[in-house]
Amino acid sequence: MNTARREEQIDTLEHALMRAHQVKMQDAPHFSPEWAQDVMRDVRRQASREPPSSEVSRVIWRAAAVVAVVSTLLVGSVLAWTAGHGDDDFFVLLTMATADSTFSTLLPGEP
Amino acid sequence: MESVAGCRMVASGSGLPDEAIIRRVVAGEVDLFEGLLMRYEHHVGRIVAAHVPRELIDETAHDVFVRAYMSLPTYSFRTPFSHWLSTIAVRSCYDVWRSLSSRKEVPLGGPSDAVEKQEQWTEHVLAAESKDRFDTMVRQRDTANLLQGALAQLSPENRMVVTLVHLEGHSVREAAELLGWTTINVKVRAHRARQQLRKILDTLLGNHHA
Repeated sequence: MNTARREEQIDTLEHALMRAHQVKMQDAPHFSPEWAQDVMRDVRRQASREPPSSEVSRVIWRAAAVVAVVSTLLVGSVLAWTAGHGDDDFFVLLTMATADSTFSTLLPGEP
Repeated sequence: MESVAGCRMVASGSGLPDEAIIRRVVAGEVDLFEGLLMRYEHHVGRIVAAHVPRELIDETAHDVFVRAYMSLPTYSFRTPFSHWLSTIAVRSCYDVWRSLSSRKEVPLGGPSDAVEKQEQWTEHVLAAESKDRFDTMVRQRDTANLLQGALAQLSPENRMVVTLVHLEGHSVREAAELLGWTTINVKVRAHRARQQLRKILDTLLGNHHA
């Protein structure tokens, strides 16, 4: 069969299916009052079982705030400690800590 | 009867705008959710009926409203509530197909998906000389069954894309928003899925001309 003719026929069938789907979309189903009651029963059950998402997110935000405060205190105390021991001590500590790192072996001019 | 319905409307906050109902439901007045249910059951029903088999419409629409309730605190009021609800409905339908597909329970259409019936249908559609005759044909149950049968051969992803973009006429961007996918993904799938659908129709023509 001619390819163009076949393509045309496929177009027609495709158009028929498209129209069939549009027809289907025009018919909204009617839900019974029992269906609505079932949905509401489930919604109430969910409401009593789990805290609403807003409550969950409030808890998450509170936890995040606590973590932020603790981190700030920790950083603050480290800074205060290093200030008390002087820059030289801090430099020695830092040198000791990084002495064996691979980064130090890659420094230019080193054997 | 009317007064009973009226009482139900007042109790469910039907006179209130969506935004007010949503804020109060989120604040804990769960019963007011019924107002949204009554207001949008047809909207959701239409979407669900267009995507899932008849026997799963009630169950899927039920699931859509429960999901909507659970996600209500995340609704940002930036888009109309109906649009937000549509995305939940479309994604729930997609989940239905994924679930059916994973259990290998995809319905292949009604009894008319037999080759003989398909051939008859093809013959009649192609021979339809007037627009009225064509419209009569597409309203027949055979067409719906054939559509169901053709779509059943697609993956859940391709099925959703072909339905939204080609059958319902949504733009790629709209379909991507509804499904929560990237536009590129939808664009690639839309092209591929349409080719697949045309191949299925070509096979049908092959049967018809054999």
